[in-house]
Amino acid sequence: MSTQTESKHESAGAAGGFEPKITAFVCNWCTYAGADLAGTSRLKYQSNVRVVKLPCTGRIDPHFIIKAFENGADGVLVSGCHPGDCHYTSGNYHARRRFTMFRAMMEFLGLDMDRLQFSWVSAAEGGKWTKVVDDVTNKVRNLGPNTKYRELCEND
Amino acid sequence: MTDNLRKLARELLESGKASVVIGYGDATLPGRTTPVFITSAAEADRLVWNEHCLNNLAVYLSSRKFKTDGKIAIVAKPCDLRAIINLVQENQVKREDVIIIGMVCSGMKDNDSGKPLEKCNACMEHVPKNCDEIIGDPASAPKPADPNAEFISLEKLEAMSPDERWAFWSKEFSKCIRCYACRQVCPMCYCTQCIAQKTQPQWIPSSQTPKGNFSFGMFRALHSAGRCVSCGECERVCPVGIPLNLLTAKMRKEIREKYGYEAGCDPDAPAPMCNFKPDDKEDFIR
Amino acid sequence: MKKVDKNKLGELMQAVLDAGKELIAPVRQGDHTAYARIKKPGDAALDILLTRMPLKEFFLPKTECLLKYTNLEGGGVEVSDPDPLNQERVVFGARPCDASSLPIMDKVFTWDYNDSLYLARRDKTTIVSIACESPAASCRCESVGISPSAKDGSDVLLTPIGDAYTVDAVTEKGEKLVALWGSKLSDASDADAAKAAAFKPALPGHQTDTASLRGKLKAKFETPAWAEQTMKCVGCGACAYLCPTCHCFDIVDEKSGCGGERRRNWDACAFSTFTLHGSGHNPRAEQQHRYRQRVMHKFDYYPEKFGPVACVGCGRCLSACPVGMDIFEIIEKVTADE
Repeated sequence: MSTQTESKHESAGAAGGFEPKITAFVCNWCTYAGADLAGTSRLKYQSNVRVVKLPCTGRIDPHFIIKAFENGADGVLVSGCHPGDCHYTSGNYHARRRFTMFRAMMEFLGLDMDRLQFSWVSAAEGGKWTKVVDDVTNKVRNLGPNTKYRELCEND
Repeated sequence: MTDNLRKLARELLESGKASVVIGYGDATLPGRTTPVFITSAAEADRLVWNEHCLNNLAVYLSSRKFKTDGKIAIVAKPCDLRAIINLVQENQVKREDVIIIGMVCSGMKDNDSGKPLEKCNACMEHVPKNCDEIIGDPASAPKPADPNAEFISLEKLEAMSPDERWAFWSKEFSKCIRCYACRQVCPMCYCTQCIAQKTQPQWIPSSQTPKGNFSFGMFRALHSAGRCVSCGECERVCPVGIPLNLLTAKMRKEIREKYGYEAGCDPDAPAPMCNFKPDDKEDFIR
Repeated sequence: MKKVDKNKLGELMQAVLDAGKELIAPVRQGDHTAYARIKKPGDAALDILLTRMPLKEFFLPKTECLLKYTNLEGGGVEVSDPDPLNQERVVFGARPCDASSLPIMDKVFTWDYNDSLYLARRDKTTIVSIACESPAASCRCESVGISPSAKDGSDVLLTPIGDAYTVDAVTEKGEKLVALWGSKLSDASDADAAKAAAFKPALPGHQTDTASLRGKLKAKFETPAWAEQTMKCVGCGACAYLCPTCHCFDIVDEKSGCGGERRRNWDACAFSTFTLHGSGHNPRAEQQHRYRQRVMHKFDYYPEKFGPVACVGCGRCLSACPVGMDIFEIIEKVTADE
């Protein structure tokens, strides 16, 4: 990922306004398929999200989320199979506890919690995917750029 | 108590029940103690017990492993004892390989200020449990503090706005020199390779800059979730005075509230971060 | 020789600021203490006997950029060097031990290569030290041949004489600063000078005769006493990072986006990764070998190469060690006859 290309993209926002960059970490079996369904169903949703596909939410290490923020993400979306539907039986249950703690930690450190969204989107929920993406994009757009992390990294 | 401790140590070493007694001895700086490793009965008089026995000696059972052929006898305050139990739970030490000498503890005092430690004011366990030997009179122990006393320090931060909290932690982590003292004294930080040292890929920048400091401080506390026994060693040893206990206390509070778990209390309890219940709370997931 | 009233130090600091120089002084940051840049004399906490952090970060920062690189679109790389410091600075209220650490570091940074970034910082900085009136139990300066009023490394030394300090310009840089202060200083009498010369506070802590013991270290390289004495070491870097003379560093490339920086970061011989080879082999396999390196470097290898020992006896490593290690006690124990 190059910062030059990224900054060009950012400045290309509609009417010169701020367009957030959202990184979405999704599981292969449910949410990615759900996003695919949204596409094949020709549902429209905002284009701010960049999707990173992983086998399972259980594979999503909080380090991925921090790296996304450090590298300029304004918001992060994590999405996988509904409880009980995990392709690997229990990956999302483990992930749920991990993200519970991680989210508490980030909130305690002072991150705006609207920048970090978790959701369950099944392979059949193309419509829910578009709603989740639109919702997190709108929220982060309202918050503006992730200045906290940018300052942290600029002082680096 | 010192006399009883020395007597017990002599017995353990003379009878061959233990090959070493890990305890506290006088340090060279006045009023301080330092970890000592007693391997012969003749040396047992080097052991001391006083209000400055601050170290959590359980660290010598996990990563800074003491190598010996026989059993290790270890002097443990009730808080340190929980660390040993947690290490047993995590298969880092075999319970039968260790002789735990539990000390009835009425609290420790800061080396510099002489004031009681914050963690001791919030202590719920002055009498050791799950130990093999007890030194001291349980009847003389102070009353346990309110279970929420250890979280009072969190209130100030929790009442702040996110921006204020971010500013608070940015300032604190800017002091970090990445000496890793917090990690090295933590009995639970026994990974042979810490994520902070990994270079390919590098998850945590190694430079002593805000980005890496933030990431390291946060992940160290996150990795302690459900395992931290609140011995407070990380904060005590931090040479630049970062209030690390706030981070670990936050994790303990969440673990208690969400999963009703206290680390190191029950050797047979399943560890919360390696287990789940289908009906775990998930109010933040849409 | 000049002198100045004790309550007039603020005026001297103000004069430094008024002359457009940067002012660095001991400060309190909550419970923590360090040397820091200050904008007004009132922020200085000259009553601190010894700040937790040493002075070295102003000469060898905990992290510093050695070069910047950018991958250019269409190929090629652009490399740029950082600018050396170009701002006059005055450290006001250093302790003689901290000041003494600078000549020790100088020898390393001018040995086989003149380190321009370090030398620029040294060149631009004038050190004003204040002799210590009440040394602490952890003070060990006399163990290494330094005293609470040592001049080495200082450009100006202030020595307490009752309600005033004598002002002793030790170097040319110091003379320039004394000239800047001009009439803010008054002339010291012969009696004042005699008082300053007689200034010799007692050190409450046990002092070790390292001058006679260090010769024995080499022969004791393999003694089992190392293992016994260093058993409790947990392998953190607190001693090295708080040490005014420890100067080991690591060079890393930190990438960000399509460019990055090559950085020099503090490193410490106590870390197991310090000597870890790519193959997985570690020549200093155990903590005892790493701690032995710390002692040998300071009291044998460095003096062999450069003369003095690489320790100023500030005692920070004693008071900050998580497990109460005492490097002087360890020297005594390992060199003791078996």
